[in-house]
Amino acid sequence: MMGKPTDLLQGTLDLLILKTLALAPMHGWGITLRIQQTTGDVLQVRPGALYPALHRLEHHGWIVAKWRDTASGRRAKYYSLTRAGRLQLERESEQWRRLSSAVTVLLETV
Amino acid sequence: MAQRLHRRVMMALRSFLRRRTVERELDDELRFHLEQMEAFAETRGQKLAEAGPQTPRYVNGLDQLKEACRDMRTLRPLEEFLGDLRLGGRRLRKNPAFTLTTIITIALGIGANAAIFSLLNAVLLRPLPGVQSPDRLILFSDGSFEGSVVATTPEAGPVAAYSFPLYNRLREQLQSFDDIAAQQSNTTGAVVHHAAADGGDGAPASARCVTANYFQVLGVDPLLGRTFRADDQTSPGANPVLILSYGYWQRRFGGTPSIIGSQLIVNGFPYVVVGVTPAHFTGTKIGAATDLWVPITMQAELMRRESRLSSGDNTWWLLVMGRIKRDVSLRQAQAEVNLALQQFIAEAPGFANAGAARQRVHAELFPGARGVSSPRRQFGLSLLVLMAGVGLLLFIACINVSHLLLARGARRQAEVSLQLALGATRSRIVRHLVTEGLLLAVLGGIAGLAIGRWCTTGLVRLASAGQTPLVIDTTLDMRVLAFSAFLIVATAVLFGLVPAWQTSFIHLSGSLKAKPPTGFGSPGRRAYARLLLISQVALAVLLLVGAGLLTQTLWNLQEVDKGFREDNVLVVNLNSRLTALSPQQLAQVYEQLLDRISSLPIQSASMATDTPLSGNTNTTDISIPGRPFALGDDMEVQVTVVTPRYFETMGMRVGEGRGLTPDDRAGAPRVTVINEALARRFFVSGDVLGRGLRTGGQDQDLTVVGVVKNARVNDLRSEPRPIVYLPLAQSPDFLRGLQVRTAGEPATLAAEIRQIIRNTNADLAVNEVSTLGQQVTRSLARERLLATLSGAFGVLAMVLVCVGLYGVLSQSVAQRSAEIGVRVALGSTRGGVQWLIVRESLVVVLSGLALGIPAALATGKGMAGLLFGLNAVHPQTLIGATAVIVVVTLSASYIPAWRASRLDPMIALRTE
Repeated sequence: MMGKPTDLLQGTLDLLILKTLALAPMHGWGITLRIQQTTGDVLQVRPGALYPALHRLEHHGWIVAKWRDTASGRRAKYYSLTRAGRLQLERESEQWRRLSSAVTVLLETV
Repeated sequence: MAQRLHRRVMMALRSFLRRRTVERELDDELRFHLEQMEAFAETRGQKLAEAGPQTPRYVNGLDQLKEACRDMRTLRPLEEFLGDLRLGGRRLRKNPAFTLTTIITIALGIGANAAIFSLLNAVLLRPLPGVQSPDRLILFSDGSFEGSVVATTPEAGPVAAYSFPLYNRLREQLQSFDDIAAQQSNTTGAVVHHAAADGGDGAPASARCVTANYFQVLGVDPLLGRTFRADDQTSPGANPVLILSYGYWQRRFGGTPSIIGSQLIVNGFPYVVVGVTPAHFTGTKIGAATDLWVPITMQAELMRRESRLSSGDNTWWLLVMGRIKRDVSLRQAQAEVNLALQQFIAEAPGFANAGAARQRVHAELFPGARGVSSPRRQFGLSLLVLMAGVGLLLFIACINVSHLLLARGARRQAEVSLQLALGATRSRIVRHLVTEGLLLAVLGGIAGLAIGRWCTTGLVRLASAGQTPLVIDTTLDMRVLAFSAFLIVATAVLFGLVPAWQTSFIHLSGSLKAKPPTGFGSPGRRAYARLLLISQVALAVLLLVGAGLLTQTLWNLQEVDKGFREDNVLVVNLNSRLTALSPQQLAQVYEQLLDRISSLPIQSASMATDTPLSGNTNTTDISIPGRPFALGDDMEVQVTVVTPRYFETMGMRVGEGRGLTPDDRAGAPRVTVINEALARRFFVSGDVLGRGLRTGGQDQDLTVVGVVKNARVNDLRSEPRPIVYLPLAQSPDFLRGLQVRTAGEPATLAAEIRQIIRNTNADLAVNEVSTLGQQVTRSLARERLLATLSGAFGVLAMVLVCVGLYGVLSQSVAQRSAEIGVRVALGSTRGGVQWLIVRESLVVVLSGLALGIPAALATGKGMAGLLFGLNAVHPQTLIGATAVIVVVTLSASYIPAWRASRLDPMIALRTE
């Protein structure tokens, strides 16, 4: 069963989340920060997009959630990548690379 | 993949079932995010207002966000279905009159179906209760139940009987079976005494002899004690042990376990109770429960008859059944059994002069999974006919519900248009309506099941009015439940889908603007409604014709020339065998008994071999001196031994010669009176009296002294068979029937006659006292059941059709009010307007008749086996049914027509 075809935006967000979680389990806010920092504030993720995406990825079985204490002792919902999620990340990375190189080629030739 | 689906479903279920926890978690998660965000903003020293896109401003739509998250988690179809269900429930509550009408209609339809199906299931489908792997159980029949070699019992029917020596031979010889067992084909009435419990004056128990391996072959384990063992079948009279059925144990001994080991006196012989069978095992004959079993070696003691166990015995009285080996086919087994049977008959001395009968012997094996069922033969076809009838009724009811939904759909057009305009998909709307239909069907179905249970009990009681109480297991089983579930879904689809589909087809433009129409709306919908009506009428024709044929049958049977008069006759069923007297000695007892009874205020009293209409008969082959015997001639006649005033008591007419008199005593010239059927078959008309006749086994001719008119003494349906009546004094026998023609109401003498019997000989057991009228009524139990039920179906069908027609026409009038207004304004008369509406129903009714009558003719042919005294194609019934339908439907359509003619044209025109 393949994942549902996703539009570019949603697919991209999924890719970003999966990639971020590939490093370490993280809560939603952590993911927000991480993406913002690594992209130098270029990409900013809003909660309104992030959380539905997280729940959707969980529904697909690509990530799993667990409640854990943070360093500061607060309870937070940590997401981590599953094996299926890792595969999905590879697929989506590959797809993204093909897409971006195609776009690059297009932009440079014209 | 399956795992993933599993996880998704689990997650959705968790979201659904543990909604509160999931909600709280969602809350916590989002609150954490906000807190962190605020804290982050502070550390950056920014004011929240300038903090950028992740500030609470962007989280304003918190509820939408949550909803979006929820959406991601759920299984939409389930949620939507539940939503539809809630919506459906709300809509149904809003319109209680509609809902109630619909549910009651469906409940009645499904209830009636479930009830008939429960009976059908118990009688025709259900495997033998309480038997292990019943599919390997095989019943033996020898396929010839007309020859003199086979004991025909009314109870056993076509399952012809075997002799004990033959059974033994088969058991030794057959390789196809693990084992074969035998049981007495009909039960013996047993008077049971128990020293501790009571005097045993109650109704006789039904007892049966079985071979010791009977319970092993069936795979029935005892509830208490043990079943029979090999050492319970040693030598005649040496195994006085018995096993009780659960039902009898409960009824008679209150289910006390201490019964095991205690002594019971059965028909005068002491037995020890060794076991009780489980509750669900009622023997291998559906509908006729056995109360107790004794080993076959106790046959003579139980029946109080000569032993049938000797190696040369030629009484055919056993039913044989076997457990077939796993790898053997029925055909192989049948070939083997037939070979053995032919061998046996070729060698058996008793068959030396059996002549043609011998060639007819042929064993037929058939699967015994469902046991021997006399109700199956008695009620099988009837039940199928009733099932068909009740199915049609449900169909008609569904159509009415369909009309209701259709009309409702039309009224709901505006609502649906709004939904469509707001972006609901057509499929979603159809789904709404179908869900609603399903909801109605399920509610109606559940109510129907309850009604059905109740009806089943009543039906069993109605059907039990026959000869023996019908003992059948009608508890709900998977088959009945599955059938009902199927009906529910089928009805929902049947009445719900088309209206739903039609409702969803709405042209957005227009229907939103206009006021909701009052009728069926589009012409397509009206055509569909008319089609439904036509099929309703056609189905009603079927039901009415069926009801007509069956009622006519009952009527014919009641009015048939019985040849006897059933008024004012008391009938006693006696068992003389317990007196331990010989037939010669009994003859005096009988005489004394009749003598004493004649002191009562009666007209006459008599005795005979059997009670009338009991179905029990004795038969013999006869020969006629001077008449050559041709091979293949059926010489079998019925023999009835009677006392002198038998014909008088029964109200039978002597046509030629004389009846029997007290002068026809032992030592006097041997005489016989024959019936017309016999005279017609074997003698030349006008040359009967004084001719000779010899019954099988006799060495002396009997002189025919009289011919009585034919009487249907065996059963009312069949043509009277040839009968030889012999005077008791010249052929002493055990008599079972005592008839008393009284001056007044016969039942009032019952107690006195019982007393006289007891005083004459205390061991004369009275099985039953009834009136001949009751016997006649009873023998028509099946016909009455069929006529009553089919009549009820017919009436219900007519009511439903009228309601449907009335509803459709009323709506049609409402809808055409403008048109009618114009017509009236242009000078149409009231009569013209009425004709307009009546014509509409006439078209429907005539089309329905055109479809229904040919179908009814075909159905009549299928029912031919149930009919009596009339053809399956019965013009009177057809004409009658047609007339009823035309008259009733036209009167139903007159009210809307009359209303249409009263429309004020101005008002009618203004309503548009």
